[in-house]
Order: sequence, then C-alpha cells, then structure tokens
Amino acid sequence: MPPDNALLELEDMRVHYGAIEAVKGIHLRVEEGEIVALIGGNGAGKTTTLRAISMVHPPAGGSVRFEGNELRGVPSHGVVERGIVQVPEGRRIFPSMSVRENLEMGAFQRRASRKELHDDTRHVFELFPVLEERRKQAGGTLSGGEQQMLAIGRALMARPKVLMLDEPSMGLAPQVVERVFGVIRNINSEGTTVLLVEQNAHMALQTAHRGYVIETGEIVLEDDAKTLLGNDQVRKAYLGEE
Amino acid sequence: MDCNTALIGPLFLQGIILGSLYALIALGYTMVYGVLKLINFAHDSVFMVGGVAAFYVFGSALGLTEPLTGFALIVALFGVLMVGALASASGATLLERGAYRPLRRRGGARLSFLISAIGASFFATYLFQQDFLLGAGKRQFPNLMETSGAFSAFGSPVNNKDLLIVVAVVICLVALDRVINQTRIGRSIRALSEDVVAAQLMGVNVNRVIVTTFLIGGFFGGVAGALYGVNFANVAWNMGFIPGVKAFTAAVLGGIGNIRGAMVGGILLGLIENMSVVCIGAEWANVVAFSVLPLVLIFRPTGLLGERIGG
Ligand SMILES: Nc1ncnc2c1ncn2[C@@H]1O[C@H](COP(=O)(O)OP(=O)(O)O)[C@@H](O)[C@H]1O
Ligand SMILES: [Mg+2]
Repeated sequence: MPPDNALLELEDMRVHYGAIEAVKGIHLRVEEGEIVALIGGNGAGKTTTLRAISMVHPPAGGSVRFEGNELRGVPSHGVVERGIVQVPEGRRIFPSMSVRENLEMGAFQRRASRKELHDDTRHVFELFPVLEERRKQAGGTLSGGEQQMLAIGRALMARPKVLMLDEPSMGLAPQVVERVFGVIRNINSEGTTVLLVEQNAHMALQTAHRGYVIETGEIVLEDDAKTLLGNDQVRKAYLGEE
Repeated sequence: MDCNTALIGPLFLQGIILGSLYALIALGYTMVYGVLKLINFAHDSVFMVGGVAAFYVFGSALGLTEPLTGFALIVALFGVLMVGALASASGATLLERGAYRPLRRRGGARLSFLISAIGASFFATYLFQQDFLLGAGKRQFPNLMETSGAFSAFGSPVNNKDLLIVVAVVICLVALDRVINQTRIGRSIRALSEDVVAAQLMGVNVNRVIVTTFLIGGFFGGVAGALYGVNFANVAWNMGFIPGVKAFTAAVLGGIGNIRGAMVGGILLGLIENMSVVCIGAEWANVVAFSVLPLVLIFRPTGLLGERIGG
C-alpha cells in the first residue's frame, strides 16, 4: 500500500479515440471500502473512463495505479486477474449462454474449482433468487432487470476487489433500480470497493460516500456525496431542479 | 431433363461422404469467423498442408508402397491423420502469427485482413508448387489400404475408404462439440464469438483464444487433407482450391460462425452437388454447388441455422 492509501488512483489520465480526446487528464481516487460515484451526462466520458481502467481501450497518457502498481501496459485479462472487475454499460450478457454459464464465465480468470463455483453461484442465487429460477434459460431471453442482476452476479463470481458498474440503473423500472442499488450497498458492506458510474445522479449520490462530476472529459466537481446532493450546480444540471 | 434414377443410391452415399469432408474443412472457416469476424481465405492452404505433410512422411520418408492390413494398417491410418492434423495446426498457427496478428496490433481495417488472407493463401499454395517442395504435378499418395467393400447402404456398396472418412469425421465432430461446450477453452471461444468486450471483461486472453481457434480449425483441416490423400490417392499444390471454396460455401449455407451449421451445411452441400448429377449431369456438379453461395446470400443471408457459435 502506498502511504496515501488509495486502492485505485487515476492521475492525469487521458483517453483518445483517434484524434479526439474523450477524457482529458482526469484525477480520481477510490479508497478501500468506499463507494465512489462518477456522475455526468450522456457523452461526458464515463464509459470511456471505465474502459480505460479495464485496459479494454487503454489510456493514451497519465497513469492508472492499483494497489500502488501501474496498470498501463497490463492486458485487459491481467486487470481482471488483479481484482478490478466491470459490469459494463448495456450489461453485455452472453445471449446464447445459460444463466449458469454466464455466471461461470464470471469466474473464468480464477480457474475456480467445481466446489468454489458451486459455492459462489449459491451466493449469487441468494442475492438474486430470480436467477436461480432462470438458471437454465439463455441469458438473451431475460428481462432488462434480470439481465442487470445477472451482470452484477457474473462480476461477483470474479471475487473483485473493486467492482465498477456502468449505469446499472439504465432502462430499469424504479422498483428494480431500488433493488439493484440495495444490492450494491450490500456488496460494499461485505467489503468490496465500488466505483459507480451513473447518469441517475440522485440514486448514485444517495448510495455513494464520495462523488465526482465529469463534463466533456473533465472532472468539474469532487466532494462528499451528501455535499454534492446539496450543491446548486449539481441540483440544476443533474437532479432536474430549478 | 431425363433423370438417371439408378444413380440416386450411390450418389446419395457419395454426397454424404464428400459432404462430411466439406464439413470438417468448414469448421475451420466458421470457427475463425466466430472469433474474428473474418473469413480466413488461407484455410484452403491449411488443408493442403495436412495432405502434403502426410504424403511426405508416409510416401517420401517411410516409402510405404504395399498396402497394409490388420493392426499395422490401423496404426498407419491413425498416423497419417495425426501427421496431417499436426502439420495443418502448426500451419494455421503460423498463419495467425504472421498474417493476422500484426494487423490486429496495428488496428488494421477489415479489408486489409481480407487482402492479407488472400495473399497468404496464394503464397502458401505457390510455395508448394515449387520443385523443391511438391512440384507442379499431382503426387501419388501411398496406397496404405486396398479398397474393398465393407457393407452396403442405400442400395449401393460402401467401401472401407468411405467408412474411414465417415468414422473419422464423426469422431472429430463429437470431440469438437465436447471441447466447445464443456471445456474452459471452448467456453472462452464461445464468449469471444458472442461479445469481444464482455469476454475481455471476464478476463479472457483474446490473443490466446484466437490462436487456439486457428489451431483447432487447422487440426480438423489437416485431418481432412490427410483423408483426401488416402481417398483420392494423390495430393497436389492446388488440391485445396475446390474443396476450400466448397467448404466455405458449406459454412455460409449452414450459417457462418455456427459450428453445427458447418456440419449440416457440409453434408447438405455434398448432397446437393451429387444429387444434381442424377438429373443434370456430372459436368454441372461444380456449377450447382457454387450457385448455392449467391443463392444463400440473397435469400437467407444468415444461413440455415443462423450465425452463432456453440451450443
Ligand atoms: N468508439 C468510439 N469512437 C469514437 N468516439 C467515441 C467512441 N466511444 C465514445 N466516443 C465519444 O467519446 C465521448 C465520451 O463517450 P462515453 O465515454 O461513451 O460517454 P458516457 O459514457 O459518459 O455517456 C463522446 O463524445 C463519444 O461520442
Ligand atoms: Mg456510457
């Protein structure tokens, strides 16, 4: 552990798509045990940030440190191996694989034994009983809410140190959103650090300890979640208040 | 049009046998398409390399001239197929490293992969045409097994070479189905075929899965190449061309990217081609077979079973 105790730390991270700079040198830190929210409107650079951390679309500049080690240059499967796991935007369930197979894919990099797979699958089924009912069904046939639960369950199968979620509330009914965020709080209280990306600023800031606001690739605000919820700028831009 | 109905039985049988060879080659096209969304046009050379390697080892090196029997025959046949399989698997791996991976690393455009594939295919084919390798003519494949009748089906005799092809292909298909649906590597191939980004986020090592896919596809292509040698008693530098295009057609017919589709498409294409002989005439067999490609693309672009890999 470095002296400052950050589990995950972005320093001046820049991400490009060809000539376009989508993330323009952001600083962001996530400490062990925290839920950190990254909120911002459509196209602000949230997904790009998570993909860069996962090294699926590696940054062009700056640094990404995890447990004190630089992640740039590490392949995407190495990032998962180190314990950073992502629930991607749009869920990206494997459509033709069954619910159970999707969950087992989550444990892919761990080379888990049969017994471990069994125990972890049970744990996910306890969190989301509906997945057990649907365990033999193809992932592509689930409803949006069920797919989101499956995507979260699949990520948990990797036993992450940091769980990153990209817009878990997208397209879900309000009661389902409540359930999903309840589970995120549970996961956190069981010891998993969470980086939560959302357009739904209200839910995200109510759930998180701290938050960052990103606009066109730059962090424009950073504070305790409660303080951000009371911030005029945030209220106007993201909470739909006058 | 007058149809020669006496030919239906034997040609049906021939269709299934030829079709199973197409199916075996088609697997290579369809699996690589699944993970890369790329038609590996050099797969015909991968097939050829298997037949040629078996010829080198059993013809040139061991110099087998007399047919074998009994246990020696079984060992020799197994050896021929394994030599072909391993040679083609190595060839396919080299191809991936040499012609495709460098392009992926540079983020090459889709068209550049296609051009690289065609280039690699011509390179390998004409390399083997050189005198220091195979030369321009056909080379006689060692006659390991005297052709003899085994039993009869569809009112026509099945010989032992027909039987060898069908048995070998069935074993390969069952083994592949197991690998794809029940092993860790099989699961990663399916994952990559369905969603590259999601597979990466699960910790799948993309390059490793891609090269393994080439290896598996090459392995089966090599078995097919060796079977070709045993069955047609010759190999040649250009032996991959026609079977390659037909297997590619079979893969599209079944649904490119779909493993079971490649199996179905192969058998079906073998049947279509052979049954056309009954009514139209042997000289039209290739015309009929190749007309399947545009027809499928126009009327059912996703093929019979649809684009999808695995279970
Ligand atoms: N694959 C891509 N190629 C080019 N530009 C992209 C790509 N993905 C995203 N962008 C651009 O990068 C910016 C940030 O996008 P994104 O990270 O998806 O935003 P958010 O997740 O906050 O909605 C947007 O302007 C978007 O148009
Ligand atoms: Mg996004």
